[in-house]
Amino acid sequence: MSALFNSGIAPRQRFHRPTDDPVWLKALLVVMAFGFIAVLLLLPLLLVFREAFAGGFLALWTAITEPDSLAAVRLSLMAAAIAVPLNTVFGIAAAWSIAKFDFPGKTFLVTLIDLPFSVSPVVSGLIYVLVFGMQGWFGPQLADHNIHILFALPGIVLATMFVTFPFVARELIPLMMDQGRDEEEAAATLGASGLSTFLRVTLPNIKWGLLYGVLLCNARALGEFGAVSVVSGHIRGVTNTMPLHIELLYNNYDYVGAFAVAALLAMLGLITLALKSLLEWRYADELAAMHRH
Amino acid sequence: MSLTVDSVSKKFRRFAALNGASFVAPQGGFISLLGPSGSGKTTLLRILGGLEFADSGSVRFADLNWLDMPARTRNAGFVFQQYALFRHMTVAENIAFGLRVRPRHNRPSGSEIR
Repeated sequence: MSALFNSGIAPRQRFHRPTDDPVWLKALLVVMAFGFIAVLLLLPLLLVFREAFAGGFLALWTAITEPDSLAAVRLSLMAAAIAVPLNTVFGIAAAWSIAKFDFPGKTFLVTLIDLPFSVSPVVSGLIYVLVFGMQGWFGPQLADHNIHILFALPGIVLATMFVTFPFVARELIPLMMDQGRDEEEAAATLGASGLSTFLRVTLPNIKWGLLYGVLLCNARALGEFGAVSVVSGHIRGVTNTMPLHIELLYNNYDYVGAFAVAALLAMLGLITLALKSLLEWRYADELAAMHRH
Repeated sequence: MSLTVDSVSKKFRRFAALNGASFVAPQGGFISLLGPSGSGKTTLLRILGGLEFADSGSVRFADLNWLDMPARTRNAGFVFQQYALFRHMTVAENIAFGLRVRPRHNRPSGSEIR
């Protein structure tokens, strides 16, 4: 206090924010973060692309357009095209019921949604074998009716859905809880029906979070290895998805082919990442606008 | 066209928010509900607006069994404590919302709403 009143004589002290760390510490942390990412994430990615182009562009092209590789690409895209929209619908339904209603067992449901994150994908694949396999619960009956789930597209889709289920729901639950029920209630008193409340009020409020969740879900669906590996049966050109096909090529010493398909898969991931960053940037803007009042 | 609230009760788990609330509001009347916070004013209003359900009691408005009607058919004006604006809409869209969501047969045309 006295220093304040006697000022003019005392030298001005530099103000320190309590959160202001020394420069060397900041630099160290930033360098560490970048170094870590460069060595563990960026370097392998660059190597994949370098190896893919090692035999020249023509070799890369031949490897990708080879029928079995094309079949793998087609299967992966197909599995994602089925699994992602279904998970989007289920994710919205789960998030909606958790955020907007109170019911017994709600916390349990939230825990269940996280299950695929905590259980190893291989285990979840095995669960489907246990349920639909020939030695499983429904296997013989399904075989009698000529319905193929394991070692076919349905099994691959199921396994992919199991692993990617949390992405949309996890993204939406905090967002919808934060937004509360006020706007839906206001819409109801103004005479809006349930559907029109959802389409005009709820959906526009969650659209960026939803898109973000869908993109993450899609990236994971394309890249899923463990669970799909158990249920697919690894039939070359028929039930091999891109990740499985890459492993097969690699184990057959077809390095050019393996890295070519790997580069393509990485490319799809990078496109998703770019879209995600774009949305994040966009989404942050809108979220800030939403919280402003 | 009077509003009759007859022994409306509402419990949240074991807490009784309303315990037999009754009053009659005549047509054109102006009613104030007074009470300390937690005395059930909001709960009663939310029941009248259709956002909450009474455990027992009845509400009659112009010979209609008010509590049997869903919120959206009551056509009751409701001003929220924390203003519930639709944050993704403009001011004009917020105001027009009540008209836009009407069933087609008594919805004004788009240009009329504007």
